[in-house]
Amino acid sequence: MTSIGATRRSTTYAAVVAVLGVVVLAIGLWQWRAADGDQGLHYAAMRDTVTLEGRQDIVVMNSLDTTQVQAGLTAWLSVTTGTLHDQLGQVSDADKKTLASSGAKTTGKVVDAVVTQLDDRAGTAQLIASVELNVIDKAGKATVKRNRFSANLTLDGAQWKLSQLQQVAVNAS
Amino acid sequence: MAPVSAPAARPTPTVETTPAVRLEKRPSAPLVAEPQAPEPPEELGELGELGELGELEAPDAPAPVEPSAPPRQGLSAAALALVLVAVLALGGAGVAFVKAHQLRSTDSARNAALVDTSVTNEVVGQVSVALNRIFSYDYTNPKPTQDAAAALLTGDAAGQYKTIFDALQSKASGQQLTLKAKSVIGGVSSLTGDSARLLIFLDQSSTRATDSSTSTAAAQLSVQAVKQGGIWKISEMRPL
Repeated sequence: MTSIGATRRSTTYAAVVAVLGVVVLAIGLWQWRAADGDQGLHYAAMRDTVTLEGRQDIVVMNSLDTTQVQAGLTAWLSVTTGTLHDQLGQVSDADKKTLASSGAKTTGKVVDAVVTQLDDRAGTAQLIASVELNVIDKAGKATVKRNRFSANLTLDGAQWKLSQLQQVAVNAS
Repeated sequence: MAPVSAPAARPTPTVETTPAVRLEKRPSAPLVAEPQAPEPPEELGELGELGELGELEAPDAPAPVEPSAPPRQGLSAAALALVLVAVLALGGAGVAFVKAHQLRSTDSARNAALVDTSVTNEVVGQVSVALNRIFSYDYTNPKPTQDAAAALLTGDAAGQYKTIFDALQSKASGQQLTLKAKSVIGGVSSLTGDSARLLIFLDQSSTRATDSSTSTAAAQLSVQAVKQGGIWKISEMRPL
């Protein structure tokens, strides 16, 4: 048996559920917005991008097939910016001939790399990397070398490029 | 007078009276029945009220547009609309919570390396000092090295180090070796809670007292660290 009282009661319940639903929706939207605008999350994502692109840049800079010096130099220029980029652009023909005469082929591999500094506003970062170099000389003899690098990266457009790359020398003191 | 009046009175009143009474009684029944007749109006009044209720229900029935089921379930159009609002709102909230969770639960988001500057610096600092201590060794006084190893190494690292150290000690006593380690630079690649993974560049210079010769070696260590009792300990280390 329906009555006016029962109808009013069910409408009241429905209203309470609707209000609760809207409140939960508001909390959910707030959470989503907070996560989307979270500076820490953006910073973390940028750190991982720097690690990934920095590793690739270092691999390119540590790889050179001396039978194709020009191709190697072009690749180096594509992953560098600033002073380092300018220096690589000034490699003389004599230097290129010297490189080509060695006939060696070097392939770099980043064993581990870590971002040690990151300024997200300036778009600059510092990264350290442990690099394994596989060198095959003219005679086909392979040697493996270990190197440790410190790199400065700069955000150039949408790509992180190397503005400085140096070996971390042993400090005998 | 009396006999005359008496017989006159005897037959007439008695005979007439009895039927008169009977007649009076009989019509009295319809007379009683007549007052009963107004009773139906009362019943009609009740029927009239039922009719009014029927009229009140009538506007409710066409309102839900579906005249068959809704009135019986007791849900009005307003209630249905509110339930719809609740369902849509909860659905939307579900999507929002899932999106927020997805943004926060990526590997990148959970890794606090560099994001949490103070903890990152704390790990690098403590692990660097720990490495300096356990990889520095004076053959005349090996105890600080052993103490540091006991305090700062845990898990697999303790075993890994013991192998290195035993070999070192047998060589060191013969050659009178003094080792000095110095962490040059390091960073944290992953940091979650009380666990961290680091890359540390370490220089180790060794001096032989027998011929005073010194050499320096460059090391690259991948280190796993865990925070135990408020300090970061090395749980695994691997030369790269």
